Amino acid sequence: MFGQHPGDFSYTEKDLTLLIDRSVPASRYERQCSADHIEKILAISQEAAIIISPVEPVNLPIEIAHHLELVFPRIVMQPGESMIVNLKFPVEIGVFLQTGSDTSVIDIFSLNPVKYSLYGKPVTGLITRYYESDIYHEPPKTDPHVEGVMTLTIRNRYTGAVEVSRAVFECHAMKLFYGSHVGMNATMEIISSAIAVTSFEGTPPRNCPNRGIDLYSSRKLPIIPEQGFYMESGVV
Amino acid sequence: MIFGDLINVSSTMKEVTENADAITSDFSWGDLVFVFLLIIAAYLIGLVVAHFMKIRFSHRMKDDQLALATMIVRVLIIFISLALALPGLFHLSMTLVFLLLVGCIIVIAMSSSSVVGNAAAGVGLLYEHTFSPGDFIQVGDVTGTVVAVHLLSILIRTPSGVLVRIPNNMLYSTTLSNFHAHVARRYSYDTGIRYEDDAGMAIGIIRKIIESHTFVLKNPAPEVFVSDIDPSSIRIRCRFWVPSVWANTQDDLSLRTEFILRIKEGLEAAGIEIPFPQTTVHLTEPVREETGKT
Repeated sequence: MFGQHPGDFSYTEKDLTLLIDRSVPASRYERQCSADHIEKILAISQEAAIIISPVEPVNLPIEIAHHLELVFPRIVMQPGESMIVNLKFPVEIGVFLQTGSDTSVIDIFSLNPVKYSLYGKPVTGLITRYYESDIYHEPPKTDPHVEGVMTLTIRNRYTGAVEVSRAVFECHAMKLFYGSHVGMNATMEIISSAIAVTSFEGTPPRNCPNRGIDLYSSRKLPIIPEQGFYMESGVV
Repeated sequence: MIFGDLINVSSTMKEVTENADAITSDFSWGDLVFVFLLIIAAYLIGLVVAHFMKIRFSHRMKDDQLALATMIVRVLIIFISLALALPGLFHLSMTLVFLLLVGCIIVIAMSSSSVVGNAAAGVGLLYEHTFSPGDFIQVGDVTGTVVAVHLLSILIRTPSGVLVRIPNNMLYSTTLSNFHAHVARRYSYDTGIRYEDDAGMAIGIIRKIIESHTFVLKNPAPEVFVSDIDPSSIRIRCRFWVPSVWANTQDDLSLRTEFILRIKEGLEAAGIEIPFPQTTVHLTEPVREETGKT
């Protein structure tokens, strides 16, 4: 389903029906996702293309979080040790209209239930998109419309052993790829027993050659490139 | 000492009367142009200072607070430039200008004490950072979203769509609650079940309903527990946290009714009833039926 669709397109899955009808004089976009139904008339030229791409999973149902929190079984890491794990994360799907170099959002939907959490204290903490995952040593098989796979490299740079069971990422810097599945590469540098820095890598994961559309850049929001997100409220 | 001050004041008054003639005789169009250019220069300097303040403090202060601070600085720049230039222009001493300024301030303060009080309160609010436009607050009996914060008053839009203006000095004399100050808020609702119902099962049902809601935060975890034993029911309390931004978009009433309805339907589906207030009376002797005629 992901990719560019210059002409008519329809897709039907268990809980999802997607239809792009490029008939003259008015094109039509229709989407049924579980009980949520949306229909739009598109006044677009024949040169315009519709792109379907995975987007940062922090847009639905309303934009109240900018961070993704992945919780996984505890890992005890000795000093200087590093470990590569695969985690599942929720996928949100964006439908875009591309005209020339300009990309605009038509619709965003998800087949995944949304849950939020508070990372830190109510006074100084962050609202995060919450997701629980098991740890996989090889990329697990997933439904690309529901879940993606994050390959996370965890490095313990602290002088003592550290327990890790959560990773929080700033979604402004997220770099999604798609292919046989939706994936991304990320790193987590543990600085102390309670502080870590997370960041995304620009390299595509294996079998995911296509770069997803960054929703924040398509919305033309000015984003200051950052060197990573500081998890200052604990890693457990 | 007092005698000395009196001599100073009398000499200053004498200076005023002497300078009155000088002001009328020496005043020219050139002086007027000078004052005009001075005000323009002070205005431009104020703009530059405001620009630098915006660059320097925009990431540390909220927009409305920065706007108020820059306005105060720009007004001060104009006043200071006038205070420095006018004595030389009108041949007045600094002492006289100072006395005139103090006199003006006293007259303004006495004639409009509430205005001065509101302005002072506005500056105090700027310093305290209690709320900002967009926050959902309660001031006395008024609850709503802050639309604008001015030097003398704030504007609040109530959930029913009414725009309410509240003078700033009132904010200092009454309790103010900001529901949007922190990223998350905790809600607490009570439900009663019958004595014969299984409280453990009811707790499990309520917990499942709450945890399934999108905006109930996973962490801090929701709490459901028996809080009290009433004369007619067992009270079960549920406490959970939601994002303040989301709670701000929905008033407390809609949030409460949404959860209460779900909890009621969930309990009823499991055969657990929410009892009426009732009293059970136990009689120690059998009731004797009266068969007498009236």
